[in-house]
Amino acid sequence: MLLRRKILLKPWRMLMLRTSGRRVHRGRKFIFRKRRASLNDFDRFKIMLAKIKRGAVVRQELAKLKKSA
Amino acid sequence: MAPKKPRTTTRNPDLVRGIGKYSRSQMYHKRGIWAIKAKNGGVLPRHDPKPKPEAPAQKPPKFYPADDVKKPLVNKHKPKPAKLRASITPGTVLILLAGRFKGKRVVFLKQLPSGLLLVTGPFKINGVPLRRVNQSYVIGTSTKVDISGVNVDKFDDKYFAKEAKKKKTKGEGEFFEAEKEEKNVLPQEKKDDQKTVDTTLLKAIENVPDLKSYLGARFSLKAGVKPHELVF
Repeated sequence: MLLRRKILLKPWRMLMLRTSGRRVHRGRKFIFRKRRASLNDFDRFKIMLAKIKRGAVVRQELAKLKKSA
Repeated sequence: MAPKKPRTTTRNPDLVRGIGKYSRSQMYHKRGIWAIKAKNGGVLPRHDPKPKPEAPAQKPPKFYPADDVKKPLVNKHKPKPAKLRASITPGTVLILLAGRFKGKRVVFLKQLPSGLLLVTGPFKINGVPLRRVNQSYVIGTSTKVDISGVNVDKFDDKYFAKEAKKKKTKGEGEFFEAEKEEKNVLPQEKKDDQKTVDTTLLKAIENVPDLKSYLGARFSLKAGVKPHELVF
């Protein structure tokens, strides 16, 4: 008989949380999603600040490259 | 010989309710009423009856009032102050959900006797002054601010009560004048109170990185975000 998806998911998730699962892209995705869901309001705000900062840095570098080209 | 202890139960127990074991004459002898009478000259001693209250001087009216007089119902209800939610403690950062400052993040200071929450922005950071908010209109976050140095003893519900407006009588001359509306000016005393509270609070806020800009930002939801799944 076919194993149900629900039954398969549980051991798969347990595997993904282990060290071996972290090397797989899908496993890392799962870990990130889980961590992100547990952030509180202040943490989410800090992430927003970090993204803004990163965007600014990227834009600066891009402008430099454009200028030199 | 008189009994040493005062009697606790009746001397004439009921056979059936209302019917005693002994008759009246038997009890007369059991209680020794005859002896008491003999001692007091054949008469059982009695207390003087209470003096009757003075009869009303005026004659009662011939007719009773035909209309029913309304009497207010007795109302002894005293409302209990609202219970404070477990997630809201002094120093908690709250998100306001309704009113003039919806979306703002404020710091909870204390609960007032009326059950409302006393919060402040602080004013310099996001423009929210010291004000009262009902618990129903806030989200409690898990972020805490250290408010140990803040003194809020002088703030109570009377502090926030509106001043009663004096009704001015319009004279004949004033009738034709356009009514000039007096603008509400915030008294200097309240401004000073705000400054006093916020000065201490700002020091505690600046100690934590990014907390100042966090309190200055507005709360909002992006597409796809489910608020009931968020952790605050």
